Amino acid sequence: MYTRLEHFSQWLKTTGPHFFVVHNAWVVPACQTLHFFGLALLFGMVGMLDLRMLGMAKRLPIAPINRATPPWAFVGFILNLITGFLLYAGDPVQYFHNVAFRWKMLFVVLAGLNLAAFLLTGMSRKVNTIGPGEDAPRLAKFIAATSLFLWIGVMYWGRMLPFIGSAF
Amino acid sequence: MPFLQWLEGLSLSVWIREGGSIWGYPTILFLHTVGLGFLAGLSVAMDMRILGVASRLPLIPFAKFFRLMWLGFWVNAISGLLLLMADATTKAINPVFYIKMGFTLVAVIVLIFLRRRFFNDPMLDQKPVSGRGQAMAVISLICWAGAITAGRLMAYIGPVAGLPGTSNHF
Repeated sequence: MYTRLEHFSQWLKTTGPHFFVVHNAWVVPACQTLHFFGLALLFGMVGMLDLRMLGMAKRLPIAPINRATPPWAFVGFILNLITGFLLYAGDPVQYFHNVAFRWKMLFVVLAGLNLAAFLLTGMSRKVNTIGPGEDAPRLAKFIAATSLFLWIGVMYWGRMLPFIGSAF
Repeated sequence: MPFLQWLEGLSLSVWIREGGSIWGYPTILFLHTVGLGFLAGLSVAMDMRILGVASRLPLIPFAKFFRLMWLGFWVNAISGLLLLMADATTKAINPVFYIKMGFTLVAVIVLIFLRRRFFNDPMLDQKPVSGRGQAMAVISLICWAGAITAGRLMAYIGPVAGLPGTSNHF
């Protein structure tokens, strides 16, 4: 797995996306800007659902939030996947060896597993029955708190790319 | 400018910029990002509700999110001031910085309007959203996008600032 990813990163340096990023000075700042748009959209949507499950703005029923936020959070996530891929392609070997980048990816995967837990434990259906003023089940609160922790962690490792790692 | 040189020369500024501590520049920058996530993120989600997304959600309870948005604002005002101090002679003469401040100022004024006027209407959920409310939501979305873009581009346009020996593209 390790050598495969390393080979992939080296191979990426010979591909179109890599040359597109390195030959156009505007691509990196544009991708970073869009990456922050995606951050605000993803974190705003996920955060709103998580905070309501934790008991903030309790007079909101959960079902409409739980139905409306996922598609927008997904848009933010895909935007960041694409811009993140381009940033990676611009300097793949550096990112591959970057400790902060590995932690960031681990946290993204954990956030995905946490989402899977939300769906598979039936909590995502159960919270739809939580009306105005009602408390979410304890497990849903735990998943919500984990989600906030993990996404803030993703921001932390992203910011640490040049400091703990050696990006830029 | 002597004032900016004085500000940048303060021991706190030097420590943030050159101290090499993870608690200096890196952590302050991280806090600035988390503040963005809460302030702009929740604000965007609220704007989209005002513009008709999830229209079955009552609007009035959204007012409860303001406390967290103001917390995000103050975290970013303080962290932003510290980052500005650390690079005062370069960032404070960068026109992009003032564009960012302009967008941020309008976005915050819109937030204050929404909190004081829009959400204070007890009949808010009994009628369609006013045109003025929708206009405020659109202005808010544009201003956050503008503030984020300008903030990001400060690292690319204007005089180079930041940690010595790095290319400053944080």
